[in-house]
Amino acid sequence: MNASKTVRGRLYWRRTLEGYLFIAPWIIGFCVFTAGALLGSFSISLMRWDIVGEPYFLGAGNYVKMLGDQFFWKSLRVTFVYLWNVPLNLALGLGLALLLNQKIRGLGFFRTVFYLPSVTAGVAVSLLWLWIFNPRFGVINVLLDKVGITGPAWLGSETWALPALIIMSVWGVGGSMLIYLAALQGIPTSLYEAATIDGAGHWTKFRHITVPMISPVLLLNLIMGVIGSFQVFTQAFIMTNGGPNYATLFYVLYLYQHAFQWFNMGYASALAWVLFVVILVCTFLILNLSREWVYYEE
Amino acid sequence: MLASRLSRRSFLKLTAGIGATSALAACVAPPAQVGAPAAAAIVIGWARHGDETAMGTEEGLSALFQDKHPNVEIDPIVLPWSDYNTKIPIDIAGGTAPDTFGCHPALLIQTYNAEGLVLLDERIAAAEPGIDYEDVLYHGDASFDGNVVGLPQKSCTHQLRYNKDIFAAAGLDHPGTLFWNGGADAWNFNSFVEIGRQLTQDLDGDGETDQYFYAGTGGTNLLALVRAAGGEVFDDMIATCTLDSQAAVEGIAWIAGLVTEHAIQPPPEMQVNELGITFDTGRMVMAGGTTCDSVRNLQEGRRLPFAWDFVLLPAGPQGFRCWGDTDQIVISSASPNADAAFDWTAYRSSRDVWEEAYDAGTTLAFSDGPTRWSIFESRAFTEPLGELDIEMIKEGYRQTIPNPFVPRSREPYRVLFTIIPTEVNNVMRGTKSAQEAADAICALIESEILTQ
Repeated sequence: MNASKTVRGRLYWRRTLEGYLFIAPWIIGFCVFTAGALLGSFSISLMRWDIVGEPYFLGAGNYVKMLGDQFFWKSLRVTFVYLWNVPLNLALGLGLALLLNQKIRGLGFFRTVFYLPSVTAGVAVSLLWLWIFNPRFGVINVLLDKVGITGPAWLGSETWALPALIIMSVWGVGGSMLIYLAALQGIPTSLYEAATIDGAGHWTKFRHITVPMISPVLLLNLIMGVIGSFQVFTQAFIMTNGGPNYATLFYVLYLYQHAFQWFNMGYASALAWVLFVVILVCTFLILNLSREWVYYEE
Repeated sequence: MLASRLSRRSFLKLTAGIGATSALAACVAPPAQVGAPAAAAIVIGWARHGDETAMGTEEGLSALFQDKHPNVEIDPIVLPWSDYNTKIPIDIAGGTAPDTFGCHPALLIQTYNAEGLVLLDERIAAAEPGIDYEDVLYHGDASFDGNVVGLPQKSCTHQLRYNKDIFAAAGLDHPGTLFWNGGADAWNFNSFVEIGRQLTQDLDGDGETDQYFYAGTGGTNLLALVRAAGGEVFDDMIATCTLDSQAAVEGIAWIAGLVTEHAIQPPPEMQVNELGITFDTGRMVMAGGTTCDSVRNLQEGRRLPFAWDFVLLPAGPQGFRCWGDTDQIVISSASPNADAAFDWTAYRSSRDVWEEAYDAGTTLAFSDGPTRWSIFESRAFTEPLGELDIEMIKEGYRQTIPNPFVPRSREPYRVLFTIIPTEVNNVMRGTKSAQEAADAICALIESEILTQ
């Protein structure tokens, strides 16, 4: 018994060591390039610092200032409203994956076409959508005009600029589609066959087999979507610069302005830490709630 | 079949071996330089912002300087505007700033306040060859607390560019003629609107405007026009926002009226550049431009397919107001070679460098505005820019009121490029009145700038 325990113990430690060796490059990279910067940014968040001059210690001053900063609240609200893109993309991604999971001709072509936009550079996509949203000749307003509807000014309208960016987010649905597709192909066909024998229809099979079986992937896409939405920057920076009248002032854009346009590095660092906490809380809530609806096979 | 499969142990050994070899390889001492000069040259770092062509210019100027100072080597670096404004402040903070670097007014005051600059008064007075400081443009941009902290590298004024061909085709006197013949009586807010109405046109008859008169919503143009109307951002002490005064509100209303009332400027949401309605395509009659950057359109390969020229922004009730500023060459207080750095600074800022560079094939007139009044008479300026109205360009420098708030306000570029344009944009879109916008600007300046 003792000899067996010793062997098992040695095996355990060897495997543990091997595991750490395998992830060592990432750990070293994290410690050298990320952890130091993280801690540094927290200390900067406690100061007033314009980069060039001497830092001045404020304590929690930057965090207190946020409470009365109308643009902090505005940017937070804009970013939370933008979260509407998450369910939109979850539903569309799943719908596309279901369609592309059928056995039809040219499947590889369609999968490539739908995935391709999500590997296109953000700046290029933003410039493309500037054309699409052009109030005079953009494809959306031209099509609306054909059915007798006068399209809005989109990015030039305080009301429509943010919805326009939410619509635009659909462009990147290919990424989540691919993950859904992999999950769908991992569902054992025997489950569907058994359900068919029991007389289940398409909707019933989708509701009681497909959704539970891919629920871990739904959770993954939900979390990634929420985190990505909090970090939106490129579109707003390129297309609207936060306007009109701050209607698309996303949180990270506001943070960028403070850091690199107005050189308020302390306040920008404080904004970054608050964003970190917001994302952490949201992720924690989603993970907690997921116990109710995510199904893991034993 | 799988006899050659790599075991986990072998894989780990292999990985460790490669890692150790790489680490050792990285630690090998560099080979000794054969034939290196016995006495190393003094290396002076020089950083500026600019586009891809500026590096060639700076290398050429460095070579000219090194011919005169064989023991000094200039090491130039050119960065795009956004990168420059991140890298240089961080370098200054870290004590690793280049020996010499270009400073726009906001960076200059920051660096001065951080004691990051060498004061130049005594060096200027003792310089050989002498420096005629009276010839230098915009003294105020480089002087703080009675100290001169920089010599000019590049001075610009913001004027309007206009398409001469469109005026000729319409049989109208162009703005330059109006300015020189009638001054503020002929080239003013009223004539601007009147001409604008004639030249804003639906060229193809489809009911949509294809040629607009004016595009100019940039912060510098907006502020110059508000000042021409008699408004100002701050009081003299930079303690109170004054943009809600009656004159300033009337200025904002006039600017917005170009869109809402007269329709000679496209509404901000139109994105007309995507319709090909730009100054460069010849479908925007007038557009804002600086006298040092826009002249690149005179270079081969960048020439516009029509004749164009500069004119001052139209006169308002307070006459002409121009916006202008200077990028100064400064010497970092961290430089261990301040004497050599000053020699380079004085040379890079001089009229001599313009003329010697021009003879060597580098035209500073295409990248840097004049740094001396005498440069307006130099052939290094007059020959390459000869088809433009050089007196008009000079007039812009004469009419420029030294920038009263950028060096003295917190976050001046937030005021200039975010707060004011956003609210003027609101008036142009019809969501606010000029008074409401002015009140909002002052409220924001009060809460975001003055009380912080």
